Amino acid sequence: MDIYIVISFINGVVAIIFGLFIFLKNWKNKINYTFFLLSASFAIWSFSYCRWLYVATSSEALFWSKMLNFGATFIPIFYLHWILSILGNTKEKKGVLIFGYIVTFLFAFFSFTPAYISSVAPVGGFSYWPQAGFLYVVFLILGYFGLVGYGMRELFRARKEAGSIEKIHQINYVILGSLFGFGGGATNFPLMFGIGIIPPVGQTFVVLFVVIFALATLRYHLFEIKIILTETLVFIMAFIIIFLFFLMPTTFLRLLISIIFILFCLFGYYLVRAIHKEVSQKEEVERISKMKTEFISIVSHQLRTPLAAIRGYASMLKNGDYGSVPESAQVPINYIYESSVGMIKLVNGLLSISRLERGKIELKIQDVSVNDLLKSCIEDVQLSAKEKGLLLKYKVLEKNIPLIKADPEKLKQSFSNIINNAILYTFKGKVEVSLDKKWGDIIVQIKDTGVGIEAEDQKKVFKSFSRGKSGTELYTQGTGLGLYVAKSFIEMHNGVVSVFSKGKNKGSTFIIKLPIKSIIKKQQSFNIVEN
Amino acid sequence: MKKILIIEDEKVLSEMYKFKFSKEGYETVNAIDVESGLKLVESNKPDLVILDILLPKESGINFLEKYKGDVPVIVLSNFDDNETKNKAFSLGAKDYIIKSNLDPQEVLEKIKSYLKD
Repeated sequence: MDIYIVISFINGVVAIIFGLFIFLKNWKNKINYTFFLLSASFAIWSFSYCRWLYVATSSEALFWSKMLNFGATFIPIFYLHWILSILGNTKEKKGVLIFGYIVTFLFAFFSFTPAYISSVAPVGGFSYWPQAGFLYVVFLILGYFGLVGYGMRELFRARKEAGSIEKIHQINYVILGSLFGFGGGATNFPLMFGIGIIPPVGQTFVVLFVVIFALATLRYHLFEIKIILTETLVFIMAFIIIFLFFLMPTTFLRLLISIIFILFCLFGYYLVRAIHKEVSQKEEVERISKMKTEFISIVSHQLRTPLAAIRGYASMLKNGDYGSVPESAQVPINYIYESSVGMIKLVNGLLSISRLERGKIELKIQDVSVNDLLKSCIEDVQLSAKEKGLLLKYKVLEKNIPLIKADPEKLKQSFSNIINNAILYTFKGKVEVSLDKKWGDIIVQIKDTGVGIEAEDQKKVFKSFSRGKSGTELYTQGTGLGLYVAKSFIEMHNGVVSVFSKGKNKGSTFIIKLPIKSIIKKQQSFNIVEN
Repeated sequence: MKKILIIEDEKVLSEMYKFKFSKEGYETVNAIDVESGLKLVESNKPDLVILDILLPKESGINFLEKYKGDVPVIVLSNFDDNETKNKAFSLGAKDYIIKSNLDPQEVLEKIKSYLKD
């Protein structure tokens, strides 16, 4: 039985450490203080658990097992409150929370009465195990299965609707922690009804409950955990050295241990300081990057409304919805229309980037014919190629091109961006697009006789806001976003894109390789922070 | 005559769509927020609701949550966020169109398919 005493003690200590850490980090935050309340009730449960197993008389065992269940009564409601805080649903689910708190306080009020815990009895090899009263059964139904079940239901619902990979990871953590915690804790219940066939082995997993939840509370930022782990390790080591000091039989050995202790403290201090520095630097970089992407996102949304109006009214004027337009005004109206469409494309590009950088791109995977996508891209640019007097050719070099699993919209946007670029930067000659299959890959080649890319620029063309020398000299409307977005989308499909050019005015060739058989994550994030 | 309820707070845009749809022979009613939208959808019995997301006081998502009728709702918004899109579809929206990406004529073509008998 000693093992359960040790495990429960560890559970309590871990709950206190993590609960306090999260609370002190930002006690005003609802997520943090509800987590603290959850940890505190968990700690009462854990410490009472080990205290009750460590007693000599049945009356003491009964008192501590009642204390244990007093703490346990609060776990479901604090859990639900914390879950709803994480999901940002506390206002919406206020009624459920109020109901949960009323029920919990009623159970807590009765937790020291025989209706809740009737007695202690020897079960499953334990000298004393609390026996459930009739109210405890009601608690199990309403609290344990009702409130916890409701919290789990909300988690799965939010997971389904989550728009970012970060949120999904966070919810995964919470679901995993819930399964460990409540699944493990449930192994105690049969004994409360006198069924001692299965020992309460799940108790060993319960510690993971708090640790995993703490990770989730820290919003998937594992850096802070690094600090806690380092500090805990240093503290434990220091404690062991002090302990050894008292065990040493001679003065010389004690002196030696003292020197080791001083040296350890010195190294420990520098180690913790270095970790703190590393973490704060990473946090700062993340903060700036997040601010930048949020800014782009807000600006883009604000820009879209007036642009939609300009585009909409210009298109209606152009189409004669407001009556015939004088011939002299037709060209300027067309300019207004084209400019607004160009600006909308830029805003869409900025939004794509901000989403890429926040990991908010979601792929809608289905069977896709690359041939069909390319045909459609060619159709879209046929007119602009013709207006520039360019020859636009499309060749399928291999007859049996299989369908691939991909997001057709994203893949088409990637192809379009590269083909558009080829037409934009080619002033005479041709743009050739070809489709082939080699070594389990689908190969798309876009070859032009345009301005070419100088060797030094070839590495940069796929970076955001990069347009290369030729781009900036010859064409002022390029945003420098198209190739970056194309590359990102292709990589999301486990593909590769590369560029070859013999130099200025010698044309360029873009080659896209897409694996025919590939497992693609539906939601992906991209790290824009270069370490 | 088919009736369309446009829930849109930007006057410049609601006027634009109103003009376009009226010209095509549809009757239009305009609401500027969720509350008036819910009232108008009940009193006017439109054949289609066109709903913006970023509205004053409450968002278009609240409209979808509160509206329990069977008139098809199409979201027409500039708010382009996966989470919101998924939520809108899960709450019964038939389509989610980004305003700035389509001319009013293209929007009209899209909504026609939802107004067929």
